[in-house]
This record gives sequence, structure tokens and C-alpha cells, in this order.
Amino acid sequence: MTHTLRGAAAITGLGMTPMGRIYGKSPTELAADAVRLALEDAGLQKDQVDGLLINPGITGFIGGGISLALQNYLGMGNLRLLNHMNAAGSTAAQMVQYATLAISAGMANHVVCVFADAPLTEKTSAGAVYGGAARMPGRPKGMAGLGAAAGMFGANTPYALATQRHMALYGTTQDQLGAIAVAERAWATMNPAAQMREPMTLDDYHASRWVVEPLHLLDCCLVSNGAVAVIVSGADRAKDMPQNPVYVWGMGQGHPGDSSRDGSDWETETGAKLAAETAYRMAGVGPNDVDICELYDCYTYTVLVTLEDYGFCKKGEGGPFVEDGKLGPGGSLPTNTGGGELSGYYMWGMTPLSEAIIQGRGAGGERQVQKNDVILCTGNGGNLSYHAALILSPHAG
Amino acid sequence: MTSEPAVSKPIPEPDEASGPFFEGGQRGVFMLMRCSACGTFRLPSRRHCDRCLSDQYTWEETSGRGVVRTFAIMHQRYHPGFADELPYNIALVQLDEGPRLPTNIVGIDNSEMRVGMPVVADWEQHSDVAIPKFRPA
Repeated sequence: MTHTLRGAAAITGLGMTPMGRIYGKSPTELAADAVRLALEDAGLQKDQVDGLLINPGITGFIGGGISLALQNYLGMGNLRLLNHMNAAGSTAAQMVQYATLAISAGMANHVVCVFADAPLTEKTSAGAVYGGAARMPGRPKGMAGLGAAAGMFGANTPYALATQRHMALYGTTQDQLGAIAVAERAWATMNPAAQMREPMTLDDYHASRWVVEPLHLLDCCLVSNGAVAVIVSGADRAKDMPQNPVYVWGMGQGHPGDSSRDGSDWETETGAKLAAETAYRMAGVGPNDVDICELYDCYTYTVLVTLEDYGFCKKGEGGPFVEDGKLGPGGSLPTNTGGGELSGYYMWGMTPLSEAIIQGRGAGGERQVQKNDVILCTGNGGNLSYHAALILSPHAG
Repeated sequence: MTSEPAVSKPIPEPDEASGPFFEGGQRGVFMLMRCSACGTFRLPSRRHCDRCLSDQYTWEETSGRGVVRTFAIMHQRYHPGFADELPYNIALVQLDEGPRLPTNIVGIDNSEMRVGMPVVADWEQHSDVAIPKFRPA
């Protein structure tokens, strides 16, 4: 039996600013640019929008990020739906989920979901932006300071810890992680919006410096300034709008949270597993039906463990699964077809979502995947703590 | 022009919830908060048990023994206090009593680090606090 919400809403607008080391605009100003571009793309007037969901990036934590006040900057009155959300990298997919639910409930017609971030200045390194406790003045308080006391800074460390455990349990190799980075770079060379478009080999990967071993620099995502906005509309309206609609077939979430507690296998089993069950059931599909994956890839390892948790291969077999290059152009499971966050651009969950929309529309140009009937799009945040999934399709039903 | 001032590593400051833990460390004893209702150890220590939400607890002396659940080798200079030690190990130690904590393994080369290796607490003493490090058992 088909789920009542399968295909109930569609993504009808996409706006992307320049992304990367671009300077001169605040997150709020970048967000306004992205929203204007999304409205033009969707053929909507601003006053037709009745929902606004707002997600800041790292500037939401370190200062200067977009807030609820973005509504006023955009001059949007009479909204029927409004919120400021932050479940880290899972938020973009979540915004589309809540927009779909609200539209299905008759609470809104067109919902703008926007992400903006501008943590980089001309002088800051990408690593410093995400340095976490290293930025804090004074002594850390109580046992929460044990991580800093051990020199554990930034998001890189927990992901390195998770990667190391997977390697120890399952024999996953550096070559296998590198295969993910190489495949994504191959896609990025065909994406005009990607930041890293120079071809890259496995030797280049191995030659890149260690950040936190076992993670090389080329295992780690970029950090970018920029903004992305998407518009979600009811399926009945979407069919008469200018762009090919990208329908929401399935939605799911899974949140193990901060998993330092006894008994958790947070390193190797993520919230993706729970999200996958829910999203596959709603969409009425399984891993064998998925044509394209757009997976949150803050690190190469995130892709590997996500593929396992979505059932593309068995737990522990992610390494051999990716090693043959099947994620790259011409491979059997095209994944992160715009270069992802590793080589494309880092707009948190908007990176996989924007590329899923482009592929779903058939607008990928040189990198368009011919069979695009079922697209899996995921978001991950925290230390593999938060996860949300969308299953998207160019087909209404 | 001045050279960069010497910056010390971040040293945790004991608070109400962690006082007995850090005091124990100064005596070389591994104290953990334990839930009076369900027996679960709380690390970090806190008012409520994350298993049963009870706010009742005691402090118990524990073994200070565990295994390296996973580890990483830090090469990136995030904090000037650690600059001279790069590359250094960071370990997630699983204590025999259940809880886990981030720490460093002392007295071992980075190349000898292994997942699953048994370790024992080796407290690093500071003026008003001790920090739990571990060494191979």
C-alpha cells in the first residue's frame, strides 16, 4: 500500500550563491541572495511564500549566523510557518521534511528552507573555524574539559576515532577511504560550482598531510562561505511550476545523540540505520532501487558507514564495496555527483540536497546521471549523532 | 614585535559535579559517580542518571582499569599548548566499570597504539587538580 505522504510535496525552487572562499557578504545577506535566486527559479513572488525555515551553519555557534530575524530582513510578513532549526548537518533534510508535513497538513503552500554560513575570513584557516574547545578562553569547566585536556579539538578527532575503530574491527584500509575521495573529485571536475576541480589520484590522496590520523587532509570536507535556499511546494501546485519537480517520496530520521555512554557502537553504527528503515518504508523502495546517492560526507568515512547503514552492503564491508570505484562517474552507484562536501562545497546538509535536486531535475549537464528515478539524500551531524534522510524522485507517484 | 607567549594546555577546573573525581585523582584514586537507583556509573558526573533519570547517587572508588576502545593521532596544531607534542595520541578508553572517557596514553610510541589494548590510570598532577591519563597495563 502506498504511503499517503509519498509524493505529497515536491522541491520546486533552488537558489545557490557563489560558494567557497567568497567574502564581503554576511550570512544574512548571503541568505537573501539565495532566497531571491530560489524564488526566481521557482517562478514565485515573495508574497506567495507562506513558510520559512532557517538553518545557520557554524556561525550559528561561533557568532554572526542567521537567526529568526532573517524573516524581517527578507521582508516576509504573514508567514503561516516559521522556525529556526539546528540539528547540525541533518537540518537541511529535516527542513524539507517539516515543510512537507506542514504542506500536507494544510498549514502552508510554499515553504522556503534556507541555509547560510560565512565563517571564513581571508585570514582564517578552515581548520581554525571548527577548532571547538581550542577557541575557548580560560579553564574548561569540570569533566566536560577532559577532551580539551587530552588535546581533543575540532570535529576531525571524533571522526578519526570512529574511522580507526572501523579499521580495527573490519580491516578497512586507507586505500578504500581514498577511493571515496578520488571518486568524488572525479565528479567535482564536472561541476562548475565545485571548489576543488583539479583531477586527483589515489597517490595524491596518500600524499596529503595527516590532520588527525587516520584522516588525511583529503579525507576531510571543505569549509565554505555561501548560502543555499530550496522551496518546497504541494504536489498539486508543483506540476504547474517552471522547474521539473523533485518529489519527496520518503523521509526518516535517526538520532543516537552524543554516544559516549556504555554499550553504544556510535563509531560504526549510526542513526542512518533507523532513518533508512523509516524512509524506505515510506517511499516503498529499498537499497536495490536507489539510482543515485547524495550522502553527507564531512569525511570519507561518513560515506562508507552511511552506505553500510542504508544496506548497500553488509556492516563492515563498506571498504571493499567502495574500493572498485563504483561511486564515481560511470560506476554502478553514482554517489555525491557534484563532488560532495569533500570536493564540491560545504553547505552542511544543503550540499547533498542541492545536488539531489539538480540530478532529479536532469539538470546535471556533463555529470548528469541518466537513470535518476530514485535518489537517496542524507544529512549527518554532530559526531555521527544526528541523521536525516530524504528519498527523492522526478516522478510524482 | 613580540614572540608568541607561552600558553599552557587547557586544565579543567573542578566544579560541583566533578569535585570528588578530581580530588580522587590527586590521591591517585579513580572515583566515579554511581546512580543509587540503577547502579549505572555517570561519566561525566551529573545530577541525573542518563539511564533512569534518578537524581540520587554515591561516589565509588573504581579500578582505573580499562581498554583503548579507539584512538587517533593528532597532527594538527589546534591549541598552542600542545604544539610541542605533535603528533600526539588521543584515546577513547572504555573503563572496566562501563563508562568511557577521552584521554591520552602515556609511556608508549604512537606506532604501538592498538584498539583493545589494556590500560590503567596514571594521573597527571597539577596544582589544584589531577587529569586522568592512562598507560599500558
